[in-house]
Amino acid sequence: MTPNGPERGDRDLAVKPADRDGPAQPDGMGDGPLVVASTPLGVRHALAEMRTRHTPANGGDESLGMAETVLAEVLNNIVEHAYKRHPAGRIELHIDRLDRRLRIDVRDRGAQMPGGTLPLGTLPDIQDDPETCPDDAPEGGFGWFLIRAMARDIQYSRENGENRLTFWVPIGER
Amino acid sequence: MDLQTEQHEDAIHITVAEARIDSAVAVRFKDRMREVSADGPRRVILDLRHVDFLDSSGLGAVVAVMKLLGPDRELELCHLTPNVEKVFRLTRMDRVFTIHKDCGTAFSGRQSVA
Repeated sequence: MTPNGPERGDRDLAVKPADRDGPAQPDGMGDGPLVVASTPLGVRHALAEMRTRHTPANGGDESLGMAETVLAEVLNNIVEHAYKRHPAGRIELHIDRLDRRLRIDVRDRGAQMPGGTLPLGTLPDIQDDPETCPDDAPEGGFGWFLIRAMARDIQYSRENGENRLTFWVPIGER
Repeated sequence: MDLQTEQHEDAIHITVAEARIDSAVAVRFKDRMREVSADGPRRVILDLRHVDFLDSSGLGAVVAVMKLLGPDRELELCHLTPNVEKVFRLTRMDRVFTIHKDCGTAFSGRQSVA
């Protein structure tokens, strides 16, 4: 987290429909893409907006849990890595609901993925014995592991300076 | 970061009174945990009943708290909500922490007035 990250003012809170005249969403709700400010609070508000728009009418509070986790990790990575040198970066988010899953399409114009490919997301090494104090227990490296564990059909491309990540996440699974 | 604490005979019970431990608050969570648990009893019971979202930053912060308590003290968790439990289970960090289903199993000793 940056020192001035979480407690900045309202300008960080901008999450708004990017283009009301843009293509309508297949779910018929007519919501355009979300523009997300590349800050921790921008991510928070994007997730809240995702819940507002896509929580199924008959679903519980937990039905979007996986979608929220995956999207949080994807957006945090863009904030912390792709836009590391451009704190005011713009992230565009397209979410379509189809039956029991969400198709999510995330676009940014920050740095490309290292090597132009997605991280493997292997789990950091841990100690299994809770009786010991695992001084070497990992504090990071979980993000892409969680994305790969919960998302399906993850595709990454870089074209004309734009990163584009698309994937599916099931709704209502634990 | 709102943390509520209650002293027990051999443990301090810390309840996170917020719904999220995410990248926006992870560092503050760690700092506040350091403050409220300093010089306390050996066991630190972290009650996550109100936390319905924990991302990898929050998970890293919980691990960091365990480390800063040092080898002579123990961080235990209780009351994980389904989404939080899933993150601990998938990342296998449920093997690193002692996790209690609820506070009843976390406290065996007599409770003292906070």
